[in-house]
Amino acid sequence: MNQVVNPLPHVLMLTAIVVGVSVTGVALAVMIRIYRKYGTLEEDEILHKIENE
Amino acid sequence: MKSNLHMYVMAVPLLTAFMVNICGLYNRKVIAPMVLGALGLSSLLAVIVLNRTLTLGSLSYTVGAWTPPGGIELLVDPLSALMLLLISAVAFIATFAALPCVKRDLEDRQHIFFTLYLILIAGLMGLVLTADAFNLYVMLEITSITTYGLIALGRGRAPLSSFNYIIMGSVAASFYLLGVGYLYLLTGTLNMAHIATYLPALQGSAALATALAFILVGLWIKMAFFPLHGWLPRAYSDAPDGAGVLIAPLMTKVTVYLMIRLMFTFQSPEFQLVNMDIHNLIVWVAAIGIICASSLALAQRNLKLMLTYIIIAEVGYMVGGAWLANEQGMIGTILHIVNDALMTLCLFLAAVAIAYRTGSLQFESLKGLYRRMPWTMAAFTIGAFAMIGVPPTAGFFSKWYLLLGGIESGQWIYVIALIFSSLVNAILFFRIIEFAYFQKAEDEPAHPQGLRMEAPMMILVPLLLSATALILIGLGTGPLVENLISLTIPSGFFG
Repeated sequence: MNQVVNPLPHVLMLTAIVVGVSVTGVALAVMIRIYRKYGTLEEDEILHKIENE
Repeated sequence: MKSNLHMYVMAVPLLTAFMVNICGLYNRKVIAPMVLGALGLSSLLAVIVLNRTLTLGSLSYTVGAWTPPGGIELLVDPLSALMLLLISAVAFIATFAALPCVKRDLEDRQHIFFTLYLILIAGLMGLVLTADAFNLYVMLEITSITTYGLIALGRGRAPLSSFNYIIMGSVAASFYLLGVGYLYLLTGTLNMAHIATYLPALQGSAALATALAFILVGLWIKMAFFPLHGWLPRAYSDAPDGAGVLIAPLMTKVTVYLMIRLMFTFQSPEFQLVNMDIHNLIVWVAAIGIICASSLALAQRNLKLMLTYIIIAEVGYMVGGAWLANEQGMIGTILHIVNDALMTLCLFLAAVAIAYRTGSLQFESLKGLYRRMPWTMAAFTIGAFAMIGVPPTAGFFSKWYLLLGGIESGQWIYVIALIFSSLVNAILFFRIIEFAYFQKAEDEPAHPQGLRMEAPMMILVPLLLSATALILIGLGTGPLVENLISLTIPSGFFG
């Protein structure tokens, strides 16, 4: 039995990776919406456009 | 005791979420009955669960028969049963108002909205139920990811606010996960009750202190505890109306509950979570947070933005109250979680009703509203009085317990901050009442027939219901504290 690797840390890492991927996916989707709306992803330019609205 | 009833409270909205996504794609008419039916059933089950925990003690369910500490345990005690009922009831009431708003704002995306909406509710219930520190992280991310999506559906600069929240939320989740990783290395287990049994032997360890600090900071970012609140005002005010009424009352309150849960589980006579200096430090930061957030609320010229700063101040109340280290403060905090959820629900529903008819929440457009929307404004006034803390509304009593707790531990800065914030709230709300009652709108029609523009019944009825609940809970505070809230604190927690 001592030769068996503890599976729990692997499960935790896998779950954390899955969660990380889904957060990245949502973040990218939101970035696409920002780009469609403002035509740029530069923070300064976006804030400038919001101020001029 | 073994029971699986509380698992169904969470499973019903989760399973309905996927069915809404499929059925709503073909027929939009089925969305409303499905969502309302699921949340109604959840509320009903939550009442039964609360009743059972009060008579039988805590109920536990081991998912898939994998026994803890290896498997995940869903545990419900009186405190989590109370939160479960609060979440399902607030969600049920908020959904009535969300339906017409979503129908108007997101005509062809209703099924997507309500899929996210129901998963968010299931995630919040999961947060309350789980007894596993890592599962808690997963639930935290489920609620956060659905919230990011819901906020990004809003108008104006909503995608930008959502992105801001994504960054802050991910930082918070990483902090929490790191903390749990440290705890796992130190104790070799993830079940919270099981971790607690190893803690007394680790008292004074630097690694343990780091783990707890990471976990607490992670939760504080998620609950927008001052000065980690920067993401909240824009995210909550830019969210679509239908999502705001659910997110604003519940998200921060559930995270405060998580902090209290950790304190209740980890702290014991043999193990102190933090020493007295840090207790005092947290209460000081909370007091400064209350004062700053209230002052920032004064600077706002938009009703919804003003409400979001009040939410941040209220988070300060609850965090401060929880760390006062006496029973009055803790009772006040738990009572305030319930009251604040209902007060925020009432005020956000009123804001949604006003926005539905006038299209704007700038203070200038609130002129003459008492004549145009008398019922909405009556409920708004009750919500405002509860926020200020006028008896007999619910807000007064929880604030009273918090004040007593502050006096008992001699935390005068906290007491001053509470009184200051109540005074500022009075100024904030009476300024709006003055605008809405005494000033006339420029475009007001001459004859009274054209005046009335009351919100639709679907928004008005839940609004009036939440206002009534504020008064009823206020009048019933004595029995509520005696028969429920004081039972949620583990016996011997305060010595």
